[in-house]
Amino acid sequence: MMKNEIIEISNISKVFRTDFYKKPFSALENVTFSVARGQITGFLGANGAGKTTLIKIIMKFIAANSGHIAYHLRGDSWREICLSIGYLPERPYFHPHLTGREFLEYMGRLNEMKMSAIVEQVKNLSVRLRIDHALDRKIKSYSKGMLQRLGMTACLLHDPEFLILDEPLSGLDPLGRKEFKNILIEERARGKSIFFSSHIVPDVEEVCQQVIFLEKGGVLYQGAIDELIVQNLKPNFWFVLNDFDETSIVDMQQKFALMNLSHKEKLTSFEVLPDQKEHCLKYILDKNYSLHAFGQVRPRLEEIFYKIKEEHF
Amino acid sequence: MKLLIVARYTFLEIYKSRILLNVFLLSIGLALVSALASALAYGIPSRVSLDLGMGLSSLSSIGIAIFLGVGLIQKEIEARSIHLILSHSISRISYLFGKILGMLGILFVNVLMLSAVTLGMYLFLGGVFSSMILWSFLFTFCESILVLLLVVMFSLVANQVLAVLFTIGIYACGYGLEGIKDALFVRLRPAFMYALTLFEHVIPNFYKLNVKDYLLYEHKLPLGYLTHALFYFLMYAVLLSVANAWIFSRKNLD
Repeated sequence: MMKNEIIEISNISKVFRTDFYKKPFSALENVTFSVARGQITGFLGANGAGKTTLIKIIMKFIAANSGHIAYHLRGDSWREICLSIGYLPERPYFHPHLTGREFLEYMGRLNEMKMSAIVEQVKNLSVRLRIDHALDRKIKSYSKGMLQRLGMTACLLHDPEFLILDEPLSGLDPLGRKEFKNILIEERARGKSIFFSSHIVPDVEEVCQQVIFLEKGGVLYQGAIDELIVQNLKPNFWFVLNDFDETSIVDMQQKFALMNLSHKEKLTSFEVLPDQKEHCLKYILDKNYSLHAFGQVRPRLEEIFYKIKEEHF
Repeated sequence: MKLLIVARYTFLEIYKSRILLNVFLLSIGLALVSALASALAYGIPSRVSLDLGMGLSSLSSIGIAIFLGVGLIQKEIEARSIHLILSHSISRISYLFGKILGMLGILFVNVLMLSAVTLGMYLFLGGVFSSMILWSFLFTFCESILVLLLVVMFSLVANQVLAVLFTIGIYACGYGLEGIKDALFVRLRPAFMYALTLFEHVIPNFYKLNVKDYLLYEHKLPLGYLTHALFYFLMYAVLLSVANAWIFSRKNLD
C-alpha cells in the first residue's frame, strides 16, 4: 500500500568540524519530519538554519552523524530511487562550455531516457520554462535566471515523482517567480510531490499546502498551513466598504472602535473587536452602506512564523 | 553505461574549452621549432627533432594532466555542478571514472597529435622508423595517466594548490630516485639505500617509463623490459584508481 508520506526523516543530526582545533558546530539536531505525498511542502528557515545541509543529506551528498531517512519511492536501490527524484540545487551552476541542449541531453541520458524521449521532453519543457531561445548557446553566456530555468528543465526532464528544490525562486525576476510558482502548482496537479526550501515566507504561503519551519538546526513546526492559520486566527473582524465617504467614517468612528483604518481607491477597510462584530454589521446594513466584504482577520504566515520563533527562543 | 556517458560529456566540455586548439598550435610550433633547430643544431637533424618532439609531448601531457586534472572533480565540487549530476541515477564510482576517462581522451588526443607531428618531422628529416618510437609515445601517455590519477587523488584530500605541489613533488621524486640510488653517497650508506628502496615501492618510479634515452642513442631494449614497465604502470594505475575510488566514495560533497 502506498504510504501517505513520500519521505520520512527521523532524528537527523549533523555536526561540522571546520578545523581540528575549533569547536564542532551543530548544523542539525534530531530533525524529524515527513513530506506528504501529492502536496507542496515548504521548507522554511532563515539563512543558515540548516535547510541546504538537510537537503544534501537527503540527496546523500553528505552523511548525517545520526538518524535515518526512509524513501517511499519506486525502487529499492538508491539508483532506482534517483530515477524518481528531480533535484534543483541552490544557485545551480552547470558546465559552461556545453550548450543548454547538450547539457539537457547529458542529464536525460544519465536518467536512462531514450534520445527520442529526451528530444520531445526538451522541446516541450523548454517552451514551458521559456528557455527554448537559448538552448543552442553555451551555458557560460546564460544569466542567473536562465540558469535557474535550465536547472528546472533538467529537474523535470525525466518526469520524476518527487521534486526537491533548493531555493528555486532565487535569482528570478518577479515575472519569473510567478511563472515558477505556477509550474509548481501545475506539477502538483499532475500528481507530483514537491519539497521546496525557501527563506521567503510569502512564497511558501502562496503555493504550499504543508510547511516545515526549521530554525537553528531544529524543527519548530510541521503541518498544514491552513491548520496553522486557523489555530492562529485573530479575534478581530475586518470589513471592506465601497464608496464610503468621510462623514460616514466619522459617524462609524463615534459608534465603534475602528482599527487599522485604510483607504485604497474607492474601498475603505477597517477592523473591529469581536464583541462589536454583530452590531457593526447591523449598523452598516441599516445605514445602507455598500458592504464589499467582511470576515475574521487571517494572520499572514510570516507573522505566525515570527510568533513561533519568539515562543521557542 | 553511465561511465561512458560522463566520459563523453567530460571530453566534449574540455574539447569545447579550446584546449585542443592550443595543442594544435603547439603541434605547428613544434614542427617549426624542429625544422629550425635541426637546421641550426650540431648533430643529426632527425634526432634533434625527435628529442624535441618527445620532450614537448611529455611536457605538455604532464602539464595538461596536472593543471586540468586538479580541477576535474574539485572544481565541480566547488561549483556544485557535481550535485546535479549525482542526483541522477549514477554511482559516485561511475562518475569519477567517467570524468577520468573523458580527461584521458583529451590526453590521448594530445599525445597522438604531437607524436604524429614528431614522427612526421623525424621521417621527413631522414630518420629511420623504429618500434621504440611508438613505445616511447605509449609510455608518455602512461606517464600522464599516472600523473592524472595522482593529481585527482590529491585534489580529493587537499586544496588545488597543494594537490599540484604534491603531484609535482612526487613526479620529481619518481624521476630522481634512480639517479639518487646511483650516487656514491647513497651507495656507501646502506640505511639510505634501504630507505630509498622502500620509497621506491611507495611512489611510482617514472624513470622506468622513460625510454627516450635508449631511443635517441639507438640502444635496443628487450621486449621483456618494455612489457615489465607496462605492467609496472598498470599496477600503479590500478592502485591509484582504487585509492581514488575509496576516497571519493566516502567524501562529503559539501
